[in-house]
Amino acid sequence: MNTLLELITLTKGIEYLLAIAFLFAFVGFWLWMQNRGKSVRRQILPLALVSLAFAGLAASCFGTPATATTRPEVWASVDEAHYLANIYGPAKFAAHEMGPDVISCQTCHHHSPNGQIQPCRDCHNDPFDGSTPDKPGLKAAYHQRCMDCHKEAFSGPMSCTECHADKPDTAQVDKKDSPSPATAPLISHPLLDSYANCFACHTTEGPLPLPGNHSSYKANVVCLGCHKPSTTRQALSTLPVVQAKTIPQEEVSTAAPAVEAPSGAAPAAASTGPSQMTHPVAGRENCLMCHGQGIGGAARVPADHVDRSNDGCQMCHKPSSQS
Amino acid sequence: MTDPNSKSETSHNAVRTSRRGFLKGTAALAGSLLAAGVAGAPSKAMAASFPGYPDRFGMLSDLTRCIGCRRCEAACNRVNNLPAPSTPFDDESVFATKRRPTAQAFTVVNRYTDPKSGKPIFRKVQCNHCEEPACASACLVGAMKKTPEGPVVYNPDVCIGCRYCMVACPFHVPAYDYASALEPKVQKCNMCYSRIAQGLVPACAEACPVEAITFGKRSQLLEIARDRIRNEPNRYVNQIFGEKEVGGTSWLYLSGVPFEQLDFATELGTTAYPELTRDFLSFVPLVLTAWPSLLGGIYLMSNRREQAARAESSDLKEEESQR
Amino acid sequence: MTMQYVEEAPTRGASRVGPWLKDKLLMGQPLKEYARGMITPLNVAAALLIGVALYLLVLRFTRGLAAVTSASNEQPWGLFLSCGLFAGVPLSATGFVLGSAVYLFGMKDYHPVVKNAILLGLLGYFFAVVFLLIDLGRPWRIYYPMVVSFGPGSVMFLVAWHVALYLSVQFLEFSPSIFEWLGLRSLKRWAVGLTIGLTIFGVILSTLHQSALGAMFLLAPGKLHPLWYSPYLPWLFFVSAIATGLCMVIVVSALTLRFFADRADYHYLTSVDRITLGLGKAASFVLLTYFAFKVISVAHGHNWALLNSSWGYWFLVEVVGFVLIPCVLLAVASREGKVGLVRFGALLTVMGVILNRLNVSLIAFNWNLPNRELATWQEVTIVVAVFTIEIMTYRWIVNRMPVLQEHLEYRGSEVAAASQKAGPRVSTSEVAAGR
Repeated sequence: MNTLLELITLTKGIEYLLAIAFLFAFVGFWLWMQNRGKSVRRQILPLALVSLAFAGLAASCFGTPATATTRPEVWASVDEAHYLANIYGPAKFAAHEMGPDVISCQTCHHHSPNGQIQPCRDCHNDPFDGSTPDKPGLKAAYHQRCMDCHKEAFSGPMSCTECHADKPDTAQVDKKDSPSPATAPLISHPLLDSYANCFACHTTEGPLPLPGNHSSYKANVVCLGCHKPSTTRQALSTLPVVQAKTIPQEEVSTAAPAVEAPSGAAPAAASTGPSQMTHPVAGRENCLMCHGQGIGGAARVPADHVDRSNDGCQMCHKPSSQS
Repeated sequence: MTDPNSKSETSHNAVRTSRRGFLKGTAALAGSLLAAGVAGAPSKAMAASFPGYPDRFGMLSDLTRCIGCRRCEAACNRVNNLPAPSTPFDDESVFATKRRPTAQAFTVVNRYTDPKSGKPIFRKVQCNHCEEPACASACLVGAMKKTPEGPVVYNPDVCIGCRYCMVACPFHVPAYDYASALEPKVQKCNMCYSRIAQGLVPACAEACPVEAITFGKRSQLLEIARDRIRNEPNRYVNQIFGEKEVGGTSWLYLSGVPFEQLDFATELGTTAYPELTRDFLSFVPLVLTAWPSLLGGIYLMSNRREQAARAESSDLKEEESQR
Repeated sequence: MTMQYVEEAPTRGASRVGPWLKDKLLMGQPLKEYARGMITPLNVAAALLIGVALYLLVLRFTRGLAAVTSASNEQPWGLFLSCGLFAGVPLSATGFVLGSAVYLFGMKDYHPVVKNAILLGLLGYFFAVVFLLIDLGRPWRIYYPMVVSFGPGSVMFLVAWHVALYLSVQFLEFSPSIFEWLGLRSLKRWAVGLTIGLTIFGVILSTLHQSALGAMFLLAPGKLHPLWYSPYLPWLFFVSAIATGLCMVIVVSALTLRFFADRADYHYLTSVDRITLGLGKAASFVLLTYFAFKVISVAHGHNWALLNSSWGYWFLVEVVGFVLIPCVLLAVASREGKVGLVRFGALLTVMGVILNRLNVSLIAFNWNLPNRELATWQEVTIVVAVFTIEIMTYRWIVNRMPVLQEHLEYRGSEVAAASQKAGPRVSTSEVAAGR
């Protein structure tokens, strides 16, 4: 017996049947005892039969264990079941419009290995997977991440429209179409001078338009989160000419090379732009040999460059012409 | 005139019959009492040894995550084809009063205020799907059943509408269609039993944007809950409501404030409700088997007394007439 | 006004049916005269009340219980069950108490009232089922616990089965009077032969369902006020049912002396007072036991402090005013031979049990919830109307069937024998005068 109630139900049923059997037998017994000399067989026999019948019914209760009818063994997995009509539109992902000085990528893209920017769905399953109970499902991951800071906004039924468009999402966004580093094309040109501003060329109208699922990305640093440098690079001369005035001043800086003492402290979010090399590249292509550990007075590679290889250095750092 | 010999024989027979009747009555009484004693009432300790069905499902409501958006109410309403409520689901004014589940709303969310921080706390109310349900114990036609999968479900095809389940439920959960004359039903959350059977997640759990409701195996949910408490002891009160209350419920709660502040019934104790009527029910077969002999014996004794009195008075009359 | 019973000579064939019906249903009167006799102020008032109640019942069965009751999700049971079932059933305990006293314990002195007691029991249970049919959400399924789907772990399952069985038992116990009315002698003899077995079975069933009605509330420890909630609830209900059975017979017998004297025989009329004293004495013992049970229940829950609250005062009103006081009254009055006082004590007891059942099932149930609406005027109307119908049914039966008259073998005096010969409708005073 699995539950107390099952036991009670079964035993009560058997007990009642036995009691009824006893009552019939008792009446027969009484008749037999009280009527010595008279034959009461015609009355006793049916009583005895009925009594036995009830006793038999009681006995038949023994062979019926309760079995579960449906026992889904696997965790429930919803296959994109949108039974709920979408009440709200998609959320404005304002975080991607903020610069890294407001919020670092790692704040939301936490637990990403090697400091990469990983999309949430790489780890958070949709829906919640019970075999990894400490990881919320995708929807909760989104919301809880925002809630960590924006707790005040998440309070009561009206809170949803703080971020979500207040109308049903008629255009079903195919989630598989979302941006992800796995599908991000590699950057094929160095990010020098005016070419450091992605949006100079890659605009919604411009010569090289952004795909529709990039509409919330407005900061250059965000692009670099997914798009990595390619090992084969086009020469800048092959690229379209960028108007000088389109360079947003805050993004690019040709500040004097900064020699950083290997203090170990993580540098502030890069607000000064990539520094120029203090030496030509010739003979010193293996940047990390010195700059990886800060050997020989070389500036140490900052913490947010931790997974970058030698190929990518020249995307941003212009070599010096002097030796 | 009667033959003196036959008279003494008659009285002798009368004495024999009455003596036999007395002996029979006593023996039957003693035997039935002995049998009842041997059968006995099972010890209360047996309830603790009922493990329940393995792998049964449960739900975990983490009240520290709930933001009161009422998506769960909306999902429940849609999945169960309930009528649209008088105030829409994004109307905050409903929080002015404390609501309870009704025939048109299987679950409701109520708002409380944390006395320490002044922040709102939300609590979802619905059937707790007890392990040993009072409603299932009360139902005389077995319309309420604790399924092996975990949910307590209602069968409207056998319900006669006596509403004893509503009297018995310690959480005041079942609601009734009083306005229906032909098809009144007892209404309560059924943990989306038909969805679970298809391998889907209950609607409220799926709809919750912050995963305040988690669906899974009760044993695993208890571990998840304990992990959460252990990892963030300042966030949670060290109690899982439903772990032991009234013998355990399949719906578990975690809270950041003491449960009494959120109108939880904390004075219920840990006794499973079927235990409360078990002693009386044990008494029933005893009466059914002992009363016939007891009362029959009383009848025979009083009969014998009357017979003896009548025999005596007829003897006296005869003596007088003979003189 | 006594009605003359006219014995018509039996005729052959179909023409026998008409006069037979007239004799049985209209007590031998022509229809016009019977109908005119029915129009009394009381009957007219009752008819109006029943008319209103019928309209309310139509509302109930077309628009659901919400149309006539204030039943809520918190308080699902209202007056129909509190008055009709929970109070009605102990009031109908007359059958098994007097039946066992007369037939099992051999107390022949009480025989004059036993048929009346059984009739009261039969009517009480029958109308309890009527109240159930009104209150159940799906009354057409009332037989489901018998044959369709079983919930043997439920106390209410017991109640359902036992009430159904007991109704049959009571009907069979009363059937000798019916058969005598219909003139079916051999059937009557067969039914009389069943008496002992039916009585024993009836006591078994009554023990169980009277206590089961109390056991039903064992499942509501948080909802029933602690002074009324106790693991002894089944025993409390059972013992109070016995006391009520005894006292109801006292009260109704007193009423029959007033209203049905012309339907009673001499033996009945002259023994009611003596019986009343005897029953009163027995009731005082039972009430003393019941009072002790109540005290022990409070001790068991260690609820002494609760007595000093408004609910505690109400509890004391019920226990002291309607249990202890009638106990003392009955004891003193039966000992001193004061029949009127015994009747008053019995009335208090009956009121007390009704009050107790109302408390347990309605008033003290959910005592801690605010703003409860316990009853509506529609419920009250329907309840009073159904009880009126019950009383009128009782009157109909007593007017026609030998209820307040005894069997031939229990003839008491010569006058009683003469009154039997003269016919059941002749007033005993006339017979006595004729002698």
